[in-house]
Amino acid sequence: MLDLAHDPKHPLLFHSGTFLVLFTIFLVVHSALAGKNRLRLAWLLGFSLFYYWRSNGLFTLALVGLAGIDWLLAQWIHAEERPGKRKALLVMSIGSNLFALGFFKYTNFFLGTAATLRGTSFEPLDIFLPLGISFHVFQSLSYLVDVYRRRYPPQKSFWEYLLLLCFFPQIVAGPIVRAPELFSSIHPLREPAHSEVGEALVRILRGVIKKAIFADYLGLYADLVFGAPATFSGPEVLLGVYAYSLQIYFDFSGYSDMALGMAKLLGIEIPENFRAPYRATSITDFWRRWHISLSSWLREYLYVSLGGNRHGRLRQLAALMITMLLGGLWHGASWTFVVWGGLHGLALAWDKLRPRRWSFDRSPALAWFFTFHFVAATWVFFRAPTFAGAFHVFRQLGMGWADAPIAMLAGERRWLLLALATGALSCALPEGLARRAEAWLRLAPALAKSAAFATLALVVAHLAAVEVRPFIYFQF
Amino acid sequence: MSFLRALRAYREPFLVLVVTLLALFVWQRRPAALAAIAGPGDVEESIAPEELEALIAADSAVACPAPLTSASAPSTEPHAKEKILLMGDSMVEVVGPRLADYALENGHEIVPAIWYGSTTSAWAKSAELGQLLREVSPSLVIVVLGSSELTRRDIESRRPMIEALVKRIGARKLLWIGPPNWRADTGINDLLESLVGKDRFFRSAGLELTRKKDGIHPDAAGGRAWTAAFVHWLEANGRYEIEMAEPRREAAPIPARVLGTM
Repeated sequence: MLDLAHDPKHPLLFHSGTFLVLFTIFLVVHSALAGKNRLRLAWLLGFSLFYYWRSNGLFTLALVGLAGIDWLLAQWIHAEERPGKRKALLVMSIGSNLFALGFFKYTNFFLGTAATLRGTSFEPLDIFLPLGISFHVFQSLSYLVDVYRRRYPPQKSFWEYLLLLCFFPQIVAGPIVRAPELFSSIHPLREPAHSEVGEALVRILRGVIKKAIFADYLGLYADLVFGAPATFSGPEVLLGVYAYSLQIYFDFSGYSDMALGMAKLLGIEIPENFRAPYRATSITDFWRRWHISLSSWLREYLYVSLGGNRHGRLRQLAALMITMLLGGLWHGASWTFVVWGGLHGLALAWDKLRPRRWSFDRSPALAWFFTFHFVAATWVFFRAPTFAGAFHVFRQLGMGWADAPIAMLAGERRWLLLALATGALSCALPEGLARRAEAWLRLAPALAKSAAFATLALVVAHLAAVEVRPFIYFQF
Repeated sequence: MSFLRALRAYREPFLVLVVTLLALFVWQRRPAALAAIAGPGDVEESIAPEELEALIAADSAVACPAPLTSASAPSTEPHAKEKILLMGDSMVEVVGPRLADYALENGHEIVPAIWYGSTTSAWAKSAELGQLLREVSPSLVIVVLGSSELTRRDIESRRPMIEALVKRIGARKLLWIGPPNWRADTGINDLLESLVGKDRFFRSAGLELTRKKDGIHPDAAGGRAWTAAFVHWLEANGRYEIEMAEPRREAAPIPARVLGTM
């Protein structure tokens, strides 16, 4: 049955049956409206607003209100010539966005922290966190700053600006799209060329495999381990950390793949978000490959605004740390995310400061090994719900190896090991090879593509019922 | 004409969408026989109604035996000596020894059967349960299950499994010892309580038990405390009156039947 009612707890995932039906209807109407670009855009906006409403309910009205404020202030900033007033308007517009983000995402975080500092108890307020708010607020901020910097004129149509904020393929998990990237490809919305359709379909297929097969399966095991790390032995926890490292990559980049593919079907190019991040050989390299739309956003609008590298080493390092700490907090309202960001900030600072002879330039394998394991270790703070949880993970990693049931582990967890090995291999493969492997499907006849999708859909449906059981008899 | 051009441009996505939706539609309505072949795992998921009927018929072919001492007495008569089948997952090892003490003290006979890491669905579908019921021919079945389903996400999928298991145990007396939660569950305790009944299901969640190093299994002292809590509940709230006087000596270890590995 179609699942159309407002449901804040379960966003409509792209690989769900309901979404497939909705997307089919969307595409039929989209085709029927060919040649009538305004109607097409209206239909796209309507569909996007429905998608947003499906998760966020009445907050959709707040989105429209926020978009209205942004849109008006951007026009005003553009028309205004006096620098002081322009700046005041910019501060006002940024303030309204940060207020919305701060209120919905961080109220409990700040109140809870204040209560801890005062030593009082704290009952979290029941504040609903709108889906996608972190993404569209960042899109608004970059739009306002760019208009202020006169990089491009403000968008004339309010509805098109609203579409930028709620464009359905990227609302759940990005990428963060800049205004020109979207606006340049909607006048008119063109039909994709045959080769682009193939590319888009393969991209979506890749995304579903990553998200619905690898990420979801590995996540079951990671949930087990991070749910009660003290009850698992060292090797099991290590596998849990690897599983989570792959899970978060497959989940996030898989979703980006689906977003990119769907946008491409509509003739809209949105930017790449991941470029084989686990092949990075330094943390600086990692951040050029991981969640690229966020890291470039942070660099451009936060790091550079804080002075970047224009005011000496000390100021640069301070800007770097502030950027990474806030970047950490952007991911979630908890101090564990701040620590995660802080650790990456320190590693980036170390990359900038270390003497050349301490680099691993001559042994890329070692460089890769340390980089990957640093990233994996910091994911522990990202995933563990509390610092105590993270501590248990590290303690078991260090001390939980005596009497570890390694032989049983190999036997009982063979599917997990297979998923880990396949996942790791797919991360390690040279990009060119993966592209060549995909090329044949891209050029294959439509029936072959349909068969591939149908098979994948059945595998996903089949796997949805599978679970990784705790195997509690392990611990005897 | 632009409409036709658009249709042409989107012919591949349309074909892909239609074929995929059709495949999913057929999958959802697949016959049970196909599900048995294609279903994930051989013991985990669904159970076809006719399969269940056959299992129940086979199980109930054995007449429900009366208590050991008084063949004609109604099953609720107090002071009857019971033949107990204690079955379940590894937690059987935890409550088993102390329950054996009670059995010895009160003249019951106890047969433990362990299926390590097992779940309600594994038992509900297993032919081995039927075999056990026939061989042991118990008057009372004590089930210790649910630990492996503590964190199951689609807990509702367990409903038919638990119902099937209860049906297969049939007219025999049934008591169910719930999992000793070491963390919050996703609803298995509530589901068991609603299906097995408050006077047959002992909710172990919430008991403060000392545990083994794994943090999951109660240790020897924890096992004794757990069993004592169960016996206390049985006397106060249980459906049946079963003699359970405090043991004064320890029973010799009883070899448990170990069922198939999963």
